[in-house]
Amino acid sequence: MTTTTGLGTWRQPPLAYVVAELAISPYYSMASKIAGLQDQLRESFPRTLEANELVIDGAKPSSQPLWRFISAEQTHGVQIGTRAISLHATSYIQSSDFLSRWAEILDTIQAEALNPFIERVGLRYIDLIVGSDERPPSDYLAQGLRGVSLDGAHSAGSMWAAAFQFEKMSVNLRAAAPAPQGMLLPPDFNALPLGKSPIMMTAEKWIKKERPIGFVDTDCVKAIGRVFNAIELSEIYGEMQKLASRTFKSVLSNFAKKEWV
Amino acid sequence: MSNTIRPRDPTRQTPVLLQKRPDYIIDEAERFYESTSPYVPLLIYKQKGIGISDPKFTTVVGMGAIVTEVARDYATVPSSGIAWATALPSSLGGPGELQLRDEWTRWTAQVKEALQSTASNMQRNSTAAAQLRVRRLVKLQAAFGFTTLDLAAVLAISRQQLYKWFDAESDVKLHEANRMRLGAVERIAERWMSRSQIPLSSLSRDTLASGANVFTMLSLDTLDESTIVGAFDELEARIADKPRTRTQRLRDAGFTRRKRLLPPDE
Repeated sequence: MTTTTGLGTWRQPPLAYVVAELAISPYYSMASKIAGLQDQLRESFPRTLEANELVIDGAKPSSQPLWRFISAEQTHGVQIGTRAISLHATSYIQSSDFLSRWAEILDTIQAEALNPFIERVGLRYIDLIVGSDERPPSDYLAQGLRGVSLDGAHSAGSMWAAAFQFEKMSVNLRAAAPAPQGMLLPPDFNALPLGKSPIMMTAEKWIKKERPIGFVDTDCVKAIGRVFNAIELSEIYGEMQKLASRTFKSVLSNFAKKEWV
Repeated sequence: MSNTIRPRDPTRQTPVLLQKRPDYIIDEAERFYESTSPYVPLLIYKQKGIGISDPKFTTVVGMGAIVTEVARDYATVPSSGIAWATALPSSLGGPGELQLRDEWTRWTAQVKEALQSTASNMQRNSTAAAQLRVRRLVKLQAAFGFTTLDLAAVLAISRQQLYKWFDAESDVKLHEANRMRLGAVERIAERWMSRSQIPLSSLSRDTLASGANVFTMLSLDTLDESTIVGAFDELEARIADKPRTRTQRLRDAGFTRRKRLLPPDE
């Protein structure tokens, strides 16, 4: 199933995937809480999938269970594990809508009295660069991110990464234009089995035709180090969204803003 | 007009008090009683002779908080040098009056505590999603300036439902249709805010060139965002053509409101 809504409020939004995540201290009794969480989330997320993740924590890696609650339209999914709780979306009307859904998840965690210790929180946006009129993906990035060009050669893959430390949080930015052939989403990115967004479908078609695409991965992270508090965390995510948006816009070229916004 | 003098009726104050919050009523009642309670500074004299040698003042304030302990070698004597609105009683009042004041103090303290814990409970009962929902609605109101009835029509819900949405303690959950509608209305509001700071309500019922008005477009079951945003262009042009008000002209000319030169009485 695919989504029909473009992500975000832009005219031609490049947004493909959004994740909001809580990194928690190991929660060994999470399995006992899942039934209550499932009941609370069933109305919005009726489908449940079970999975496992390999956790390399200490000397011995271990397999830990994961629970995934997926919406009926497969546009949103909640993933709960012993180390993290996250909301994934491939349909994003606008920030306030996504943050409202995430706030409901936080309220559910509060209501079920999980009380996890929050190590850090993260908000991540994956945007795909699918150029129009045969324009190279690098044209959509600011001049300083385009790398070098060599006579007689064309770029088969170019990645740029930076970490920006702001006063209260940090933003990790990765941009690939063009992305290495065959790479649709950034490396080390574990997506849920959700319906693909329209931009993702287009990007896949281009990859099959061996046309270059790019991506921008904006990951805003903040260290918390406190026990869970839904209202406080919801406000923090509001600030993170603004920062992530500002950082993303700063890496775009004028041409990209003219075409997308 | 009556032929007899009507004494001041303290119960007239009751309706005013009852309009206020309960803990405010208790505060006012406490202030009322404190202002009339015996304020009894005591002079403690030595037992031998009444000369004021090594006097100590012990002040007693409030209802029922009367100093009852007396030093063994001292006798407490009510001071005769205090001016009272009414005659100072020869004694501090019988046990009945003190007991009433103690009960009143205890009752007010208990009620105040109960009210404060209720208030904090109410604050705790507000969820993150509810607070975010209220913030979104407040932002919408800032952009549109619609009445509650009109805003409910724009959001395609009843006025009662909108009141629940505005209540941060209400645990109402938005259905998918409500989310989509709210999101669409928010997008439209953002487009208007990027054009003008004037609330849309002042222009929403102006007839456009097409014969419709923006409020009608916003109240339809299906929102045509592109048409509505197109109408904003027309409204924006009308704002520019409107004659400037006197206040605006003065501001443009550099005149500002005079600031207070005198310090406040407080």
